[in-house]
Amino acid sequence: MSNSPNEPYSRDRQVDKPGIAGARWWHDSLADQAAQIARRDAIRNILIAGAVIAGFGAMLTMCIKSAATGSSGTPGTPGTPGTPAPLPDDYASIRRTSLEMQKAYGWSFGAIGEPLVFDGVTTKPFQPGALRSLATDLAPTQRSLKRYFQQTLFDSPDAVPSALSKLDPDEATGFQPLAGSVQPIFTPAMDAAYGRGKSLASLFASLREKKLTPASAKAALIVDLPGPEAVAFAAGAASVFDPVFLFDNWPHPRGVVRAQETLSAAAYYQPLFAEARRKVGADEARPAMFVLDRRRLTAYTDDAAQFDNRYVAKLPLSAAEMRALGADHVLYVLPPHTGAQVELDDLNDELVTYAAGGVDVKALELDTFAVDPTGAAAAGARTNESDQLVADSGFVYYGGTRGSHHAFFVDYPWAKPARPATTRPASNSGKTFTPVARTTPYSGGGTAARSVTKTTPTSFGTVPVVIAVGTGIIIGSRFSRSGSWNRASGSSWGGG
Amino acid sequence: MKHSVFAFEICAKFEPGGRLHTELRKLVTEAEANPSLQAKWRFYKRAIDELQVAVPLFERGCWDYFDNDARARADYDQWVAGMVTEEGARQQPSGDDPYRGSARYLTWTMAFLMIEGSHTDLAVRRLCDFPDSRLWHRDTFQKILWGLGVLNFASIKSDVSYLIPRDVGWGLTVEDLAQPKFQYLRPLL
Repeated sequence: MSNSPNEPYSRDRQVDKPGIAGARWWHDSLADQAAQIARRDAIRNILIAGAVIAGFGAMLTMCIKSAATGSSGTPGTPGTPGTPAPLPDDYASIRRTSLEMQKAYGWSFGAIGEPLVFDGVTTKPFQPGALRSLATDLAPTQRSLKRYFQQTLFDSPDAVPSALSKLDPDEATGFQPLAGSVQPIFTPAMDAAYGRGKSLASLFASLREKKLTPASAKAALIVDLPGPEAVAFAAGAASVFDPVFLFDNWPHPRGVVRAQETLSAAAYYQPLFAEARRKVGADEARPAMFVLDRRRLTAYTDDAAQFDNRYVAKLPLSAAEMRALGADHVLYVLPPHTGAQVELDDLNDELVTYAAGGVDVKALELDTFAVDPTGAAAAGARTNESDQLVADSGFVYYGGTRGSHHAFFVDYPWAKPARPATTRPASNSGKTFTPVARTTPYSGGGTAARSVTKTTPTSFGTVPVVIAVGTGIIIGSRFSRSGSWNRASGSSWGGG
Repeated sequence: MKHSVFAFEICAKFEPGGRLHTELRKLVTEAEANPSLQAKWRFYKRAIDELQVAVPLFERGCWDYFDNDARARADYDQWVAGMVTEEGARQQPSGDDPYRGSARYLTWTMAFLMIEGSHTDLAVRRLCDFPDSRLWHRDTFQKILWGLGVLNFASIKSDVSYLIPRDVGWGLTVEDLAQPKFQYLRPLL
């Protein structure tokens, strides 16, 4: 009779007949406790008998201590790593959506005072006050794209909890807004992604040389890279593509998705995004660039040590929606050396649906773009936007050479290349990528009409909280370090 | 771990299509197999809400509370047996037109095996502290219903609830209630 903490009762008898209907339920953990007590008593009795016979008083003490601390391995006993202490009678543990809890009780819900972890902290001057305009500076400019923009992450720095005062005081004391904890980061991986974004943008910008526009290729990007690199790539490409960020979570000190790094990267590149917005008109058609944090589905295993701030991508649901955005082609951008070139599970339904609806879906591993050491010497005067973008990228080219750069629109024949290519990339399996339907915890495996609510595993993106049973009022996080319900007594297990 | 038991059963006029039977039937047939503590509380809250509205329909009833462990467990088993053996339920329909015949009745039973000494047990113990002269008064049943919000399922080890009948046309008759097996249901004053 084991159940999740959220479902502590099990129905073991049921009658459903015309003359009578009813059922009996058992409270699993209490029933288990009774069994534990019976076992403990049995062990104690055996030991006492042994002690009387052999006179090993010291051994008796040790064995009783062993039994009393749950050394039999019975699940749910305090002292087992990751296992919480039993709750008092008046409390119960249930699961609530992580983001809702953070919005109500603060970004650091259950972990107030614990530091955020950042990789790649930089000494670049940084103005926390500018974070307030992130959601504005990083919003898409085209009206048709605004409905897809998820500004959740960008709202987090100065968010004011709506119900913090309703928590147990131990749970609320010391709360500080997230803005004070954000540090700018810059990593080599971000730098490389930025250059590759510039380089890809240069190819679309080159279409102007043929009296076309970047939108003429009728392509949209889905950039699916680790958060900081995704932001960096988008920053590099933002002068040509209209970014649509889909970061639908908040940072947390124990967050399984390190959203704080994505937020910091956004802060780092914020001036570039703001500059790009200033240079383009709101009505200027630019290809859409959906930007995802590839870590959004990171494995989550431990309620006590981790906070489940995962989420699923919310892309346009159909081929018709994509076409309405001017995209007959979709380019799925993957991290370097991804190998398998299989999209993440939560994108499978959409990519398959796009393809079934006639939208051409292809993939691109970012290592297909690489620096050509001879590029700087060979490049001529930077007479146009495309050449300037290549120079700004650090002379990163499609195929890794200047001669192969314009083979991009040969491999992805969505527009006539602006310039000839003298060579082709050695390999690029992305150009033949075709999404294949598969059933996963995040996808249905077909192309039927999609619901806005996606398939997710049980308890996905939720956090255990403690409530007062009588009222249902939330008291705090189940795994808060400060909650009185987690202050276990080593000798009180089993209810004895 | 010692136990206490609290059980409550009422017998009320069965009005086919009436709210009491309709709502209790819906509640019990749609009950979750694995409810949370909160869902459990809500389940009984709904049942109690419906019963409170229907107090004027109560004709007979029974309730008891024991804090002796052996007695509590045995008593609880008996209440469960009342459902499992279907002892109180009709095996044949009694007819679906009670307006042309004698009255029909329904019973609602709920019993709780509690952890003796827990807050819930102590609260129920206080709730059941009525003088003997008031034990079988309708308003006593009503007061108990009012007070059952104290149930905290964190310290209730097992519970059982059942409705007789499930279907219209299977209601208990006056003759059924006259049988010795229903003598424990005392007429209410």
